[in-house]
Amino acid sequence: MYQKDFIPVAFRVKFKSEDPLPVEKWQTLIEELLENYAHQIAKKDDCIIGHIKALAEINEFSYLKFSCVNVLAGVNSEFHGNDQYVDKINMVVNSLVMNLAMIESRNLLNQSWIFVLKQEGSIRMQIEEEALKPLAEHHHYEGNEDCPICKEQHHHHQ
Amino acid sequence: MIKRRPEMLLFTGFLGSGKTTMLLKTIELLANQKKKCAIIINEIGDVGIDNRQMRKLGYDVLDLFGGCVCCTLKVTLEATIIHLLEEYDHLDYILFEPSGMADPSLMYPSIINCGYSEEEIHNIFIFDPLRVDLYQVSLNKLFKDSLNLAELVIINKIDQATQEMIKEARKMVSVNRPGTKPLMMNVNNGLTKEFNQVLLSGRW
Repeated sequence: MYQKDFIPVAFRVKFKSEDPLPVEKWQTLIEELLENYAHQIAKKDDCIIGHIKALAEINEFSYLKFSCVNVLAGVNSEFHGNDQYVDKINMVVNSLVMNLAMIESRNLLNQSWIFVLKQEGSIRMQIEEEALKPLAEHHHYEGNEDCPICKEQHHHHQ
Repeated sequence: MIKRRPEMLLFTGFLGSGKTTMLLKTIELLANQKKKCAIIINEIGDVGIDNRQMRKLGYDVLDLFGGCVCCTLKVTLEATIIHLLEEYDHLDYILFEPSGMADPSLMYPSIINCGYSEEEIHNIFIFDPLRVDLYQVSLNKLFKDSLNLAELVIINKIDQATQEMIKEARKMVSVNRPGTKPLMMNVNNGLTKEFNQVLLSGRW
């Protein structure tokens, strides 16, 4: 329904610190990163956040989850698992924002990290784009039916 | 003997409204009651954050990937429900969380094709009062469609929203669907007794 408006963008993000840090510290850092990212998005007049969410994997069973629907509400986060120290974190970020495509989104996320780096210079962050298949290429509903998301008809690839 | 169909719970609401949290809390509640549940998730455009989270929590999740809810609805959703009905005996509940961008009415034909009547689909609409402005303008159609199909309306995030937002959210519900009494919740802190009673009693 709103697929054309809210553009899905996904990143795999890797963090590495020189020394192991407590999960709470990672939680604070990533919250700050995503808050900065949301603020950068909010500065753009034509962009509206649909949902920014991220899952940082600590180990097989432990994770940090982050969620942001707008700047005013901030970033909500939760930790599930046991307290521990880690020096590596793999995170998946999924961002659905109106009028914000992959490259710009990635730039904003990188810029947002610079603000965090000013306080935590010993941590590295690397963003890898997640290859999302173009949605319009994958509509398999039949003939003349409207897409249930955007309510329009799409060209079908035979 | 006619096999009893599991209860079908559908969690609807726009992106970020709290559907996944609500679903997780509902599963916790049902699991404590020794109920057997299946989870179906459709994360449009996602690389699977909710499903990863659920797997880490120990749940088996059936993903409806493919990027587009219209493909997955037509093909995979129906096949997934039939698979569950045929392969899993004594299943008590199926919990389905579609993408927050999809029109909830488009889920119904696939579910009905699996033998459910419309009345047997328990649609729980989670309304985020932090988004009242967006719902009033850009998401107005989605709001009305969701509200009209819902069996239960939850106004979530009452701890984060201002009194004005909550008041406006209540007003939007009462104006668009008079007589509906939304349940007020902060799903992060748990489900309310009222919701638990409805769910466990089956009196929707």
